[in-house]
Amino acid sequence: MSHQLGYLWAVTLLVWGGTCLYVMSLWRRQRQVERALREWQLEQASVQKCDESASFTAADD
Amino acid sequence: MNWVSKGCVCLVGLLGLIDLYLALIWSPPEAQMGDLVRIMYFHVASAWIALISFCVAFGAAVGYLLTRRQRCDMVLVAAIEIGLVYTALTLVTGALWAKPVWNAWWTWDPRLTTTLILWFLFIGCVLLRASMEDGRRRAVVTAVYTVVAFLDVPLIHLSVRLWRSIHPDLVNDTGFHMPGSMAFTLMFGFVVFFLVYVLLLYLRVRLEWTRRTLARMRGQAGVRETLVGEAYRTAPSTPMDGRR
Repeated sequence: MSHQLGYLWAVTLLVWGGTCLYVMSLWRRQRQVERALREWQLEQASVQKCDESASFTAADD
Repeated sequence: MNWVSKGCVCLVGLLGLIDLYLALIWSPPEAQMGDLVRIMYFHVASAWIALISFCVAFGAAVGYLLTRRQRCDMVLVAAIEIGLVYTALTLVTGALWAKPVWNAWWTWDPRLTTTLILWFLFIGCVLLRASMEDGRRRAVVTAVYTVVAFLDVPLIHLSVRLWRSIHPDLVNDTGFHMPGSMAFTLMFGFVVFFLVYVLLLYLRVRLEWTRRTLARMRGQAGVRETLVGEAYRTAPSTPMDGRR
């Protein structure tokens, strides 16, 4: 009886643990993509700023 | 995550705990299998969710082929991935249940075999998709592959009737062949697993949407840089050259 219950808890842990691992994997991937998106947006903003300052300098010349 | 998502996660967690109580403590043991019958509540619910997920994938694939909407392709990718996770859980819990009951981890029973084939078919689908570049062709190939691979799903359902099988068919068209308390626990577990599935589908589709937004913005920036570069290369070196 107790052996069976231990076995059952192991199966339960496997199912719910597996689901939790998958959820954590989704959250991790989401964070990675969001970070890449933020970095890219910052990079684009700085490039745009450089372009604008360069065009102002050219106009001044 | 906003407060609605957090509330949904908490609600699903609470229902999960109730499901654990019902499955492991409240429901009665079976006459022959004893407490081992409790594995059924996780095994059957996982199997149903896997089949529902592949049904969603099939619907999304047909939707994509008819409308060519990116939204359908995103749901298709998400449903296939979640379906694979739940099929894996079904196969593993089935093996763990089979060992003490059938005295074997695995038998080449029609239902087990067709389920394993389904798992391999969609692993192939994911690998095929990963081997292709981003674009419409990849989405079309995935959709067509899914429609063809989905033929295995009704085969799994009918396998215990079409061929001789040792797999029990406790829930079929004629109803539940078990006591009311066990049927209630099974259905409660199914509802909880279904809510978890909806949550997973939402998270996976959101991930795919964010990924595509990043790819699209990078692509647009790449095209802009290419156009600027070409304009720079083809531009006249002096204003006089341009007038000539």
